[in-house]
Parts: sequence; structure tokens; C-alpha cells
Amino acid sequence: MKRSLLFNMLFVLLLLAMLPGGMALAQEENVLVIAIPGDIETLDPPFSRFQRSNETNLNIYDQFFRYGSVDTGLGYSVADTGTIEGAAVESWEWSEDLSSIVLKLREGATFNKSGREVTADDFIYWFERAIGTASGTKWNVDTANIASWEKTGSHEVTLQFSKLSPWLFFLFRDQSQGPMDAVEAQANVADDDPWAARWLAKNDVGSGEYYVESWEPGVAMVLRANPNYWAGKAFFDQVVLQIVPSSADRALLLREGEVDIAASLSTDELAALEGAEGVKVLTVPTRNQMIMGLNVTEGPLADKRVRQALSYAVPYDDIIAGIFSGKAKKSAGPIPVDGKHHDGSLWPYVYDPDKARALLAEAGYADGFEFTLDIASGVTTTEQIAVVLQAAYADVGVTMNINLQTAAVFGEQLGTLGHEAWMRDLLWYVDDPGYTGVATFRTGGITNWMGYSNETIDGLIEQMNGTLDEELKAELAQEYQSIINDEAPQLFLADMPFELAMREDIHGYVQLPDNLLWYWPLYRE
Amino acid sequence: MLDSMREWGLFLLRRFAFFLIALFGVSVITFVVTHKIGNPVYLLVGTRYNQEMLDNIVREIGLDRPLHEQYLRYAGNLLQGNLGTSRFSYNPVLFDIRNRLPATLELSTWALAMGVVWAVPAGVLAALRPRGMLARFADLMARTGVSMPGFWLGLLLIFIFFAELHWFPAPLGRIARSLGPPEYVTGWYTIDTLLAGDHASFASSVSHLILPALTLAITTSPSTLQITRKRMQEVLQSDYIRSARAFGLPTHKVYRYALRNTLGPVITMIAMTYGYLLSGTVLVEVVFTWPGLGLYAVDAMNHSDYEPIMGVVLLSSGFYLLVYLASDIINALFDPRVRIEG
Repeated sequence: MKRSLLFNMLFVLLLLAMLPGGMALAQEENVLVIAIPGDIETLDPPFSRFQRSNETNLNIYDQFFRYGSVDTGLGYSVADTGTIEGAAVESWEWSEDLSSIVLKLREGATFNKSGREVTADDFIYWFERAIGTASGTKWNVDTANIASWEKTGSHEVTLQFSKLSPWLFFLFRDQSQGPMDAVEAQANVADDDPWAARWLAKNDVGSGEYYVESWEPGVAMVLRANPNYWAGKAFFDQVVLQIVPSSADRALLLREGEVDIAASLSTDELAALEGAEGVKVLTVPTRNQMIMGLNVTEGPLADKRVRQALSYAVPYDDIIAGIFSGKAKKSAGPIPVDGKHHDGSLWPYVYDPDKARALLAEAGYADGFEFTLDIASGVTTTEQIAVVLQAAYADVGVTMNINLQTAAVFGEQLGTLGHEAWMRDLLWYVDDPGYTGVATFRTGGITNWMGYSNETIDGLIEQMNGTLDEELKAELAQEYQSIINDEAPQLFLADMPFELAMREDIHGYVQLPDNLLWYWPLYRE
Repeated sequence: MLDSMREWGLFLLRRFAFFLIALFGVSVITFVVTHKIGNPVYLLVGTRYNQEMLDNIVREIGLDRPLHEQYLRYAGNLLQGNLGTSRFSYNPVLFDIRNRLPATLELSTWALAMGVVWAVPAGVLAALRPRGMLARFADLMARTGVSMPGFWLGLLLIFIFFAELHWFPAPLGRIARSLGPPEYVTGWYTIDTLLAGDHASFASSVSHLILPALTLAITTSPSTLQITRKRMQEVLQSDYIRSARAFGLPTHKVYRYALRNTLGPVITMIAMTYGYLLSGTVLVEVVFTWPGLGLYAVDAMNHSDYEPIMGVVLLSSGFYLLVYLASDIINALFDPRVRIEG
């Protein structure tokens, strides 16, 4: 008996000794391990609001359309927003007057879990659910000006538009825009949950590149490649989304080769990883702008000259060099530097404290004034920029108080115009000045958190969104940029890059406009 | 005898009433504070919404009602054992807590055991030989444990024992991913793997547990060590121990008596440490990716998810209050100087 106990203990000790470094997956499958900071919120695309679940849903649902991509020659590709390719929708045909479109669905595509073929009925259910749940997908349907949808064949759906739909393709390549298995969803409704939102939050019913194999909340989600995916099976048989809340741990695990990709690392951690053996850091330009918004409805900030003065007092080069280590681009107006119809020549602002002082004096604030900048706590970059701005503004006699807020308070005050000034980033994933205009600078726009209103701008936005003529749109965009630059309801501080650290043998990265990681093109070599 | 039982009954009743009042107070404070840290509706809708969507969510959460009405509804649900539903995990909070609690309990218990196993003997020995090497070592460890933040110590241990020496596996949860969790019996992997007779899984769960438990043990045991040492020193200098020595009692018997008289406050301190551990493992859970209540609370805070925050705070407070209750009862039972009436 004693000997048996002793043997068991020795056996356990032996195993313990063998454990370190020996727990690697003993399998021949291609496995990609991605360290992510937190759990996936939901598998129900219309209700997905955070980056982690957006990314997962992008990979497990097959969107209506997708962008083509261009190899940059720098070790990664970028999505080409000028090239639209079919995904769940194989091809399409516009009516002559552009008032309707016939979507021809991909035949033979099947849902991962049930194996049932994707048909027009699933697309019709998708539209009905979007409206019924009044979720983010409804917003996309409305914003794409879709008035009605109709099944016109077993694999054909026809959409009617209430007016011209310039953003249909841009919006319907979102992670939330992919057909779901209507039969499975309807089989799991409840009296108080007619759209099976509770069930779909935990169960995937997509036809995308991957499906959920297992999910241990707070620990990891394991995705398995769809062997029947229409574009071919992905290189990685399995993608493990390993939750590692500490960013220091994520960086260490990448360095040690325990994970292949480490998401959401800080600038310092990324800098420390550059040059580490077996690790590479991709730095990719994006249309993500760091913006300081000014409430133009009252107080000193209602005066255009004050806002211009604040724009002249921004030490742009110091921000780019000191905070972004030179990796960000200097912003130059309301259209990101890499955005369609951007014209940098219209941007008047350079760091000029004398001009800032003169403008303040002209506006009657020669002795300066005081205002408060609200920022959400826990976002290091905004905190760093705020400190730089505070010092620069003090130099021209303006006192800027920095007020850290919880994310909820910050978000609430954005929505209710409660901030005097705010700072955050805005990622323009739809590459169209008309879209950014309608969201941010049109009177009452969804992200018009400045209370800005200008009839000329409203008219220009309306005209940009009423044409598919890119030359005319470029012309209108010129006037639009000039006016916004002059009125300065926002201060454009930097066009920020997207940085991702991964093992050196991971290739095939494609930068999507929404900074989501697409697993399908990745491979190991 | 009857009088004594009556006194005990009243004592327990009074303590239990205090427990309930304190819990009620905690629920009110938590409710008000979480509802004052901001309206989560705008976080929930993101940047794709219209007024109708906004109104739907406000109605769904109940934020369109006055705060006191919201609290009454919350308290009513609490009385029925309903802690609400997480808007992040989409699960009932009670379900999530039930899933996460065993991980925290297992980590806390092992950390406490590791701490007690070294702190109590070290405290006793340091009291017996105040100028000895062991006393100095105990001092050093106590100062280190007190001054080092748990998350920092955790990172340090990971760096040394995982990254440099490769003695322990990556800080990725409770068991190797390739082995997967054992069949649920107690929710404690170290026990469930043994019950399943799975040696490899047991070894893996132990190896994953050691560093986080050690981190917590080092940072929480100094108070136990110090109180053991101080109390033992006091007892050794007391009249009755001097008398015992004068009567020629063997040294080991004298020490045994002294130790017995030392244990009261030490047990209280251990109980309080356990209460702290059950609610104070947040940062260590984050550093070691330990899927317990702490990590759950952090996720909830990051997403302004009210119900889980309130649920976890209420549970942690409940633990604390229970520990105090137990400590009161133990003291009343064993310490004749504590009066149970009054």
C-alpha cells in the first residue's frame, strides 16, 4: 500500500518535472494561437459591439461581399476598397436606374454546423431579423437605403433602394453582414426571445471560413477551419483564441513562441518586441484618426477663431515623434491622409504659437481662457497626447484641464453633447468622405459630438452622397475639406497606424479597413 | 444551561441580523455607485444606432425608471436568488459566478494553505529565537511580501520560472489546453483530476497552480507571520509561562501551552486572510489568466456591465461578513474573555 502511494507520488513528480516546455500541442495539424486580451462577447453578429467579437464573427460568418487586396511588398497586403468581390453573394446586377440590385447567391455553399445549403430564404431571414432586432444590422440596412428585399429565386434576392445607395458594398462586407442558418435560429426562439438572440450569442450558425469548435469562457475559444469553404480550406486547421488579459504576458508569450500572434499590445511593448528573435511587428497605415472634438455650441469654443488658435497651438511633430515614435502620419483634415479624395494642400495648420496667440487676442481672449478636455481612462495614447497638448496650450495662455472619465460616462457624454472637449480615435472603415461627413459633420450626425451645424456642409454631404460620379465627388470633397479645416470643429492630431506583433513565420496578413484580423489568408512558412 | 443557551441564541440572532443589515447596505451602495459611474447604453449601441435602438436598450435595462424603483426591482430579484443577467456574457450572473467561483476558491485555498504552512511555524520559531537566522529570514520575507504588489511579483515569478528557467508552464489558465478541463465534480481541478485518476492532468493542474498560489501566499502571509510571532512572544513572557518554567515543566510542554494560547488571534487572522483572498485575487488572476471571479469582474468593469459587478461585490462582501461572523463565534466559543451578552 505504502509502496503504491510512493509510486504514485514519484509518477506525479516525474510528470511535473516533464511539464515545462513540454505541453506543446502534440498534433500535426496547423494551429494558429492568438493571444487576445479578453473574452469574446457574442457570436450573434448584429449584437457584436466590441473588436474581439467583431473579429470572431468576421471569420465565422461569410459576409455578402469582401474587398480585394493588394500586396504592398512590405510583408503584408491591404484591402483594396476600390475592388469589391463576391463572398456569400457570388455576383450581382444593378438595374439601369440603380434603384434595385439582384444578388445572385453562391450555390453549393453550406452552413458549417448543420451542413444545410445556404439559400435565399436564409438571406430573407437575415433581413427580417435585422429589422426585428433593431440592432446594428438594421442601421446598416437603413444606411444603405434598402427599402425592401424579395426572394426572386432559390439563390437570388432582389433589393430595392429608397434612393441611391453609394455604400451598399462597403456596409455589407461588415462582420455583421453574413447569412445565418435560418432553420437553426428559428428552432431556438423563445417566447421572450423571438429572434433567438440568447441562443445565437453562444452558438454559431454561419457559413464562413471557420466555425466554433469549443469555447471555455474566460479561457479560450477554439475555431476549426471549414473544410468546404467555397474559396478553399484555410491553411490553419485550428485557430485558438487564447485569452491573456495581461499585455505584458501576451508580449512574453509571443517572445517565447507560446503564441503566434499577440493582439492589443502597448506602443512600448511593441517597441520592445521589435528586433526580438523570431518576432516581427507589422506597422500598417490606417484611416484611424486621433481627434479632439470641440463643443461648438457655447463658450469660447463656439468662436471659430479660438478653435483655429487651438489648431495652430498643436505641436504636431512632437506628437508624431514623441508618442508614435514617428510611425503615425500627420493628419491633414477631415479625410484621413490615406482616404479617398483627401487633399493635404487644403490643410492650413502648422505649429505656430504666435499665430495662435494673435487669433486668441482677436477673439477677445488675449489673457487666455480655461476649458476641460474629457478622455476615457485607461487609453494610454490619449492620456499622453492630452499631456502634450496641456503644456502647449499653457504656452499660449490657455488652461486645459484634463478630466479622466470611465468609458461609460465618456460614452454617455458624447451621445448627449455633455463634453466641452473630448479626445478619442475614429476609424473610418468606409472609405468615402460622404459617409464620414454624414456621420460626423452633418447636423445631428451620429458621431457629430461637437454640436456642429453648417448648412453649406449639410448640402455638400447630401450632394456627395447623391452621386456615383467620382470626379464630381472629388470636387465637392475639396470644398467640404476647406470649410471643415477653416471652421475647425475638430482638431486632427494624427493618423494612427495599426500595429500587430506576430511570429516571424506567420505570413499572408491582409490589413482590413476595420483593423480586424482575417484568419483565412494566414499561413506559416 | 438554559440561560446560557438563550444568551447564545440571542448572540447568534444579533450577529446574523448585523450580517443581513450589512449585506443590505452593501447592496444599496454598490447599486448606487455602479449606476453613477455612467450610463452604459451608449457603449452598448456603439456608433451604429438611432434613437429607436437607444430607447429600446434603455427600456430593456430599465434605466427609464427612477433609481429607487430600479433598486427595488433589483432587490426583489436578489431575494429570489436572481442576480440579473450579464450583458457581456449573456448568462445569468449566478450561472457565471457558479462557473467561476471554484477557480477562485481553489486558488485562494491553496494560497492560504501555502501561506499558513510557512508563516505560522516561521512566526513561532522567530519568536523563540528572535535574533536567529530564521527570524531574520522571516523578517525579510514579511517585508518583501508586504511591499511587493501581487501583480508585479506574479510577473516576476513568470519571468524567472517560465521564461528563463522553464520550470513551469506558460501562465495560461488552470490546465494545459491539450488536456482540457476534467469532468466536473467539485470544480477544483486538483481534486477532480485525482478523482478521475488522471495523473497527467493532475500534474498539469498543480503546475499551473503553483506560481499564482505562491504569489498570493507571499503577499498575504506576512500578517499571519507577524501576528504569530508577536503573540507568541507575548505569551512566552506571560506570568503563567514563567510559572510553568519555574515549576520545571519540560521545554517542549511549555512551548505547547504557549502555542495553544497563541492560536486564537492567529486563527482569526487566517480567517480574515481567506476572506481577503476570496475577493482580492483580481490582479493575480489577470496576470496568470486564471479564469476566476476576479477576471470576471475585470471583464464586467471594462464593459460597464452592472449586474456582474454588483454580483461579485455582493458575493465578496458576503464572504467577508461570513468570515467576521465565524471569527466572532469562534472567539466567543474559545476565548473566555469575550462576553456574548451585552
